Amino acid sequence: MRSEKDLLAKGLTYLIMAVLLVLFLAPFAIALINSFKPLDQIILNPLAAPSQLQWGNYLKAWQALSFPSALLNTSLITVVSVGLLVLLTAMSSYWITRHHFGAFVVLEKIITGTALVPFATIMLPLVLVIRVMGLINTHAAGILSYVGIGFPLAYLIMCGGVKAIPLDMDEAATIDGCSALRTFFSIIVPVMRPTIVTVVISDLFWVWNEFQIALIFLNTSKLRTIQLAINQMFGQFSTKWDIALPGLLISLVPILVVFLLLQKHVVAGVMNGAVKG
Amino acid sequence: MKNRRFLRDSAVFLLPTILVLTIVVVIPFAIGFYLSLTKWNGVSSKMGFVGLANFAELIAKGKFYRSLWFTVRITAVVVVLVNVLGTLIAEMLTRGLRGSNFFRAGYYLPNTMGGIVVGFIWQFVFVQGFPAIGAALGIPFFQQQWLGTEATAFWGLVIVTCWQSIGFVMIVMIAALSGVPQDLKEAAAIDGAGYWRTFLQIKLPHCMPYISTCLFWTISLTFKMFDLNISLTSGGPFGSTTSISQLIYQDAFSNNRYGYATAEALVFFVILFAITSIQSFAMSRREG
Repeated sequence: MRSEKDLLAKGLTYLIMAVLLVLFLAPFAIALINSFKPLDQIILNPLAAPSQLQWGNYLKAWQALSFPSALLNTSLITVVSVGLLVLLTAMSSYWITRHHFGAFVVLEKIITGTALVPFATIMLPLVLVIRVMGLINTHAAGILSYVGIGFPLAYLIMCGGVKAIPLDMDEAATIDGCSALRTFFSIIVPVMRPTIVTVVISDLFWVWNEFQIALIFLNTSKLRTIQLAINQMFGQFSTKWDIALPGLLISLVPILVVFLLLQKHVVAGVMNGAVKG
Repeated sequence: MKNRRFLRDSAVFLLPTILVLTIVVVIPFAIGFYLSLTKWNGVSSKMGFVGLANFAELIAKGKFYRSLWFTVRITAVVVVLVNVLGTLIAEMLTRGLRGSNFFRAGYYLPNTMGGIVVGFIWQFVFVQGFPAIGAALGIPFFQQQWLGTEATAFWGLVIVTCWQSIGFVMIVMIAALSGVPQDLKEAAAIDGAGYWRTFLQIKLPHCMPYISTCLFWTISLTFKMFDLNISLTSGGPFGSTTSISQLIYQDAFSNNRYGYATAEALVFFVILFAITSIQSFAMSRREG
């Protein structure tokens, strides 16, 4: 009796999970089947399977997106922003956590306080500052903004990592005559690896998919990221689904590959971030 | 000697951080206060001081309230739905069933994608997919113009935001629920507590810090929403789904009113600050 009830509960759970999975993946599926069809077939019956695979749609979308250039810009901006974010938050969180007094505490309050400022609030004056610095229409404008805006959250996660490192580890290194920088890079950084991975993962997805900052600072044909390229393409082809749909799907491929490759780290990263942040 | 070395090391470790945050956040934040008192159009060399006129206009005109009301409403609805559904899904996935990791990855997938792409894909679903499903099954619910009326466009945004954000809450709550000690659950079972009672009164209270993280995340994310409003509804119909972030952007870059938009941005900051403060206060009392 008991086991029968358990079996029923188990079956029901599987049923719910399967239905949910269909709901979560259906938008991709419907985009995928229509991406191969000619426009009139898409409009006529979006639920029908394609009668033949029209690969030309993908070629047109690839060109409309200028995909290689967008991919290059996105990769460059993401790698540099995330690299700088990790380096700066690791260094500052280490130093402030180890010297938690006076001006350092004030600095920490300021860093965490910036988390309360939404990008929209500083956006317009930031344009002014970037212009004065002569960085308008450069990758650096975007990178600098990502590092500044992403800073407080990454910093908080890093602090959790530093606090878990026993103090005698750096003391031993200092007694051995290591400089502060040397201690940090050869002793602390290797121990902090899991935390660093957490920050890398969460900021990698954030910068890659970010739109608002990119729209303000990177929206030129030379600097355009994937998100901007999609927005631009959609403005041009919004009713031409035979170009828009394959374009949308092409744009998802890189991040999909990253997610599938790093899946375990992504899940662990979100979990760690939630505990420490 | 030792002191000088400490100062030098401090500079090496902290100066780049101080520099970046000063340039990107602190200075712009300070400039913002002055900008909000001007009628600057973003180009002209004269900013034109107007005192508090921008704030007076903001209070007198309905546009800001309208966006604020939309943003508050959608945040309230999304926060409840995403957290409840995400937690329930997490509960299903922590029952130790085979294949749980596979389902988990599937539900998380939308969260790895940008709001712009996701919004455009859903635009296709709403504009072409739903009517076709409705026609095939004869369900009028699907056949309405989802993005064409104010009420349905609102719920369209709710659906897509939930679809995208549930994965995050789910992952966090999986971590939380797996951390509930086994003996606690067993003790509850021995005391004769039923399934839902154990879940609500034993497991959930144990997850409070995680729930607080999820609430912070969903509130902040939805309150600042921007991408989906652009890609799914363009803020329409008739401006009914224009979020505050989007309104600030429009007033600055479409209407060239940098001064006025900065005033809106500061009010936005104050509101978000108030919400966050109330929330941390409530949470710190809860967590004791």
